[in-house]
Amino acid sequence: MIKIDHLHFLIIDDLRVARESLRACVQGMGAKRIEEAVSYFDAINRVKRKAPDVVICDYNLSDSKDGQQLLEEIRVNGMLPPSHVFFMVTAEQAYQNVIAAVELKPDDYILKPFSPHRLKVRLEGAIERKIYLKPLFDALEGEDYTQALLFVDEKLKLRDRPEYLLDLLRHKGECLIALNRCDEAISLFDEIIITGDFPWAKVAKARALKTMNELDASSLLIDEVMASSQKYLDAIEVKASILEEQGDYSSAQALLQGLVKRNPRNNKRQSRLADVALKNGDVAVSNAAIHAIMKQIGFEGLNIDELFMFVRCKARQDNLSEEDRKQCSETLRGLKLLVTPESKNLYAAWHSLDALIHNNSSSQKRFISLRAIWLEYQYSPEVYYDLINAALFAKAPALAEEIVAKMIDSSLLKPVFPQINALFMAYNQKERLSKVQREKALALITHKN
Amino acid sequence: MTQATLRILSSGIHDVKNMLEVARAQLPNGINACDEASSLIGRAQDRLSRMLFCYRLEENELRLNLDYVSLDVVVQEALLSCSMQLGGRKSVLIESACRPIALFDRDLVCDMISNAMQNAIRHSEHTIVVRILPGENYGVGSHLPTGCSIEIHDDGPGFGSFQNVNRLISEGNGLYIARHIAALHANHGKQGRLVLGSSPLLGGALFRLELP
Repeated sequence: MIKIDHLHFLIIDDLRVARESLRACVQGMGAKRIEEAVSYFDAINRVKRKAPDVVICDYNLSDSKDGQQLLEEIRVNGMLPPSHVFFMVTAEQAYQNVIAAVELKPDDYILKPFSPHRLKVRLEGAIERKIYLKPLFDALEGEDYTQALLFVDEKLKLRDRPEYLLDLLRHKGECLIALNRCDEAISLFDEIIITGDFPWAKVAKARALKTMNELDASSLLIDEVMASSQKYLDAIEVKASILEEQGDYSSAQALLQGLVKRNPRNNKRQSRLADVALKNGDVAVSNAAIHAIMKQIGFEGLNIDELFMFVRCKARQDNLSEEDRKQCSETLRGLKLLVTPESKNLYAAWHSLDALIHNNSSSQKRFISLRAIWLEYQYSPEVYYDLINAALFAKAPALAEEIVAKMIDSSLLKPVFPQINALFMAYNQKERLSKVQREKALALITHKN
Repeated sequence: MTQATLRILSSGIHDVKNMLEVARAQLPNGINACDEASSLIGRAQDRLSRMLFCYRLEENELRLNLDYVSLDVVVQEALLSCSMQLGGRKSVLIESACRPIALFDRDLVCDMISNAMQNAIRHSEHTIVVRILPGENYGVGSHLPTGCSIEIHDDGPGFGSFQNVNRLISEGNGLYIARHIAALHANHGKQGRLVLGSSPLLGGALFRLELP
């Protein structure tokens, strides 16, 4: 028996009559702590202040916002823990949008019109499910996937609540992907897909395939999901990550921009957009995405990757204001404490950005003096971009050439060639890039002969 | 009827359904007459919802939201929506052997069952029996159970009597949707189906939904 009177409810609807009706329903169930929110932002503020145990939200909210956007915002930004219930109330016109959510979906929903009895059955069911799966959510929150998998396997064996079967299988698949046991995850999702047309299982399988670098197979599967409905936002997100992996940053950016336009307050997607746009050389879009995150959570809320992107955007702008330079300088000072030579990508990015932002001989000399390190390790494409940018900026074109040669040897130039090419052109050093390419091609021919 | 006309009609139905929702929400609780009014409004809304489902079926807009759902819970939900109609005058017995689950769209099937139960209550003399039965292969295999059915028996005149035609006409919309919804459910190459017949148990009508 669930103790409803202990739970804190938040009812969100812009219509007073609907709020009162929902309040009467949950009071009838025995709820005592009931709060109401009249709009999207009112709801955000209340959830921020104290996360309710159960959120009951109408899909259509005022200010052109909807319940799915609210759900994404409070889940992605950690305001509502996964063990708390988010329950959606929807008219059948928006019903397809509600069920199309693949990853961030409500814990349950009810279609209007509904009777208080039906709401009670659904709500109690959702609460009960959360209680049953609590150990799983706790393990997932702590990123302890082994523990989460143990719990799921135990429950699958026990079969005491067969109606939670798909939930358990889904989490099992996700844990297997997180533990890099993608083969097992794919077999599991295949078994589920044979049973029914589950878009979430296809999207999850596509993610597993992508992790295994099976990009074409992954892309085909995602295309299939996207063809069945454009409402599967998670599928679009996976498609963007496949395109990114394939080096098609422009198409990846276009997809992410579409997603962000739908919900600008989803910081996770804004962050992804900032990253991809930067790789695509679209500094303006990247900068706007970072600022959209900052607008919500402030500069101090940015994570380490976002702070690097913030400085990168500024470093790639043509005319950096003194105020921006000062802010970047302070950011780099803060980041220095977190960066060690062992964190190779961050270390290389930090020194490159330091040379670019400070525009003084000591930073640039220090950067050039670390030449052996820049040539010893393999870096991510965006860090290679930073290194070449800094080398050209510090008037060390020979070092830039050496780095490009290293990228060619590691087959890393091709996906980012347009960006690197544009960089050499911007410094009037296009000939140097062509020279390295020529030399490498010749070496290859000679080697073959 | 043109597509445009159909859209106008469906949008009108949708608006009326929502207006009824607002009207129902404004009825005071705890007054018998109001409870009855609320129940009537609810039934009118259900009727309008079914018309919208018909439209979406015709337009191929209906997408299933499949999950493993306990049939017991669905029957419980459906029964609750008929409680006002039952009014203590007729009894509903539920027989469920092993709390089976099946793969189906909970909302669609729940509406279908609740519609079938309302019809059974309307036509029965005293008793309705709801049976939840696991399929032949239920529980066989590694993870995913397949096949269940739900039967609604009543002791009314049944589909085979004089009232047959009238009953089928009056339940036309609901049965049309029910057949479609049943057929939309497929699993391991098998398709769901709806069987209407005579109840060997109570002598009246039998409504049997088979989910693959």
